[in-house]
Amino acid sequence: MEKNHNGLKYISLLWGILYMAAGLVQVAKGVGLLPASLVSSSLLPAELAGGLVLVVIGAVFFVATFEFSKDSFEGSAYAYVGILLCLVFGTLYFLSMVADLINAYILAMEGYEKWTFVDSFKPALYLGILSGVVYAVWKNRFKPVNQGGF
Amino acid sequence: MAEKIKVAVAGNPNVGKTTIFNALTGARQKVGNWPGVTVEKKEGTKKHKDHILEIVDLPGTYSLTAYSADEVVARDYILEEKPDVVVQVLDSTNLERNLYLTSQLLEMGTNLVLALNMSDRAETRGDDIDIRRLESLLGVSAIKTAANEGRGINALLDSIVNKTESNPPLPHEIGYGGRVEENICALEEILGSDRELSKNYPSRWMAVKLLEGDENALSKLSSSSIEGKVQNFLSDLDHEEYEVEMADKRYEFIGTLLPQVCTTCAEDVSPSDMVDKVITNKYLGIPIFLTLMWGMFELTFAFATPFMELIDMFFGWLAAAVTSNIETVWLASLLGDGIVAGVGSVLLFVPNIFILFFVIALLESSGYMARAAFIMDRLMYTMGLQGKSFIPMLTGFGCSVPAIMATRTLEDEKDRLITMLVTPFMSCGARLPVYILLAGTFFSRQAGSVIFGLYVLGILVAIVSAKLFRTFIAKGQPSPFIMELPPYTRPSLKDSLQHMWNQGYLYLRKVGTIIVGGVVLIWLLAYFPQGADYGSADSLIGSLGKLIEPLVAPLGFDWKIAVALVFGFVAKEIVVGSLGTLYGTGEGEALSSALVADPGFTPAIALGLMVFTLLYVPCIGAVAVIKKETGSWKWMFFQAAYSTAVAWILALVTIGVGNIVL
Repeated sequence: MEKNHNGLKYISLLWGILYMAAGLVQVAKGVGLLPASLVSSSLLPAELAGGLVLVVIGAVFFVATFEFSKDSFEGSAYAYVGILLCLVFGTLYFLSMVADLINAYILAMEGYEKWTFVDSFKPALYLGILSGVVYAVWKNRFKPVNQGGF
Repeated sequence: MAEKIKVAVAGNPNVGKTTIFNALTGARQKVGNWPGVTVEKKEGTKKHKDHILEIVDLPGTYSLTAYSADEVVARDYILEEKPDVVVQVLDSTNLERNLYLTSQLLEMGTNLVLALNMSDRAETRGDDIDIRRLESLLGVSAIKTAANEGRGINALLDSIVNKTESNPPLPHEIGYGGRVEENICALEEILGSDRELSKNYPSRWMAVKLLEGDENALSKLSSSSIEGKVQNFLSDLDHEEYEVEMADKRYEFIGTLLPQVCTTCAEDVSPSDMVDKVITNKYLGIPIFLTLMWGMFELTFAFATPFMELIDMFFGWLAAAVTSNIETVWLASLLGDGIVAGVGSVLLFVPNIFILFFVIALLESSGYMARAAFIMDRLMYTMGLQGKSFIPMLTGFGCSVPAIMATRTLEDEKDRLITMLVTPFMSCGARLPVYILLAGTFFSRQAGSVIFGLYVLGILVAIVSAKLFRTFIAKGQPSPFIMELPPYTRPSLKDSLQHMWNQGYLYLRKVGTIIVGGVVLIWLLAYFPQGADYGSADSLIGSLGKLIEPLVAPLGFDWKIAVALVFGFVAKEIVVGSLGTLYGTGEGEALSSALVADPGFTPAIALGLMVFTLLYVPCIGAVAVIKKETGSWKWMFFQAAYSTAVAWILALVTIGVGNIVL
């Protein structure tokens, strides 16, 4: 079980910070503790529920980091589930963007006159894309024990 | 004279225990019930050499805690009747799980013979179990059996007889270490001061059970002078923590033992196990579950929007074409304002329904839904239900009718009754159109979160109601929940699409039958008497609405909403169609615009109406199934009255708070 998980450990820590920070900002904007225009109203929107989702994903990565720090192989499991959640929500926001695109450019729906891609380019989407890259690079680390992973 | 030997046969469920019992006893069996409980008791005899074996088949259990009647029966028989030999039947292909019960039987100081059943399958798999090593490590006798082929039965009988002639078993102890061990010793000392008690029950076993918070074990002290002292000792301890710690130690013991007796039996940690560490984590499990649920409803709402727009445009065009091309006024109105607009208002939500069922199918086929039930078990148990109840409740997200029927899987009648009464609070697919219309109209970009909130509210009301029913109606403890979690699998796209179509087809069929009938009835009531404006207060539907309006007026609902809710009893989707008819707009954006333009229809009213729709009496189909499954008019009327009362109260609270906040 003793494997060098340094790469995953630091990625888990970094992803934990990114997701937690983005989530907390979205929540704070959502409940009015921060102005909606802070940083960018599109890239970090005021979205309470969406922010809480990011906070939960961030928490999973923090637990992964904690487990890695104890040299526990469970760290990989938390990192794996964390990455899966990133991909699931990245896909969800991508599909939302596709729907917005159709609404704006094909159906020309009311309310979408000024819509641009940036409006739908939310943290779960751009962090999800980055997570896809991480998964592609590290996917062998997530294989079962008898295949050299976990 | 032949010597009698009292034998108890124990083991996990589905390990071939009954087959072994039948092979041992042949036709000489007596079947009855254990005293005081509806757990089957089987007894039989067997003459072997110079001995008569009186054999009792104990209920199948995974452990010897006191969470179920089966476990209490098995445990009490061993403790009170003190059989000469206990035969534990194990599944040789799954030793790790089966040895947990072994560890508990050893702690009880039983004279144990292990029947390693299904050994033929284990050998085929390549498992080589060293039974001599197992015997020496545990101080037990062990025999390989394949009961379905009759293999090893004679050797098992010999072993039972030999066991009674050998020295009594040495007490087998698992070292729990640290504070647990300290507390066990301290409790043993207290228990040892009551000689009668320590003669009847092994002190160490009793101390372990007391630390685990075992109420059945505690009740055995009721007539003892040390009861108060023990209770005082236990009062500051967190039993749940101790129980988990001791279970971990037992598995640690098994983990050490297993590789020594079978090098191929110890399984690597599978990816499913690893994922479960996270998904079923005590603190993260429920947040992850809620997160996935929110994602499901967000997708259901967001991704369906363009498809809804297309359907809206089509039915808008069709309704206009019908009304402008048919000269007979009433027929044009029936087809255009009634059928096309009414059916269109429900078909508008087909994309949402299909997406929702598709995602549910993905979650089910991946194995996640079984984990959802597991995650919810702790909360459900606290509130008077078992985790298994959550499975029919999850089915209720699709439709209440099959969900209520799915409660048949619950063995305990009280558990089943409570689950049936609360399942309709789980928001079925038919309510979704109402939410999408109102949340989309009044909460636009937050609509997904509002809908998610409604689904969570439904779960909370179900759980709180279960607690109330458990406290006042069906008193007692819920049955324990034991289920084997299936391994995670990659969901099949084909199967998920098939599931989506099957469920979605039911919705479409309902549109073609009940809903067409409903909208025609509403049209008739809205069109007549002649001379009255269509759907106005002067029409029949207006009169009906005015008649029932006082019932919902305190909530701020007008007669139109009252009528829509009444017709929602036929099928919840009709609420939307009714509003379309009563506002004279048909479906889609026109109805949304009319609702926004109505000064009486505020966001708070919309939210209250969604809460009312979520919670009030389920549709006629669900009510009929409750009657059929409970076999009682009383419970049917109770469910209808209770749910409507809860809906009324919570809608009132929602509107009150909404008026302040929104």
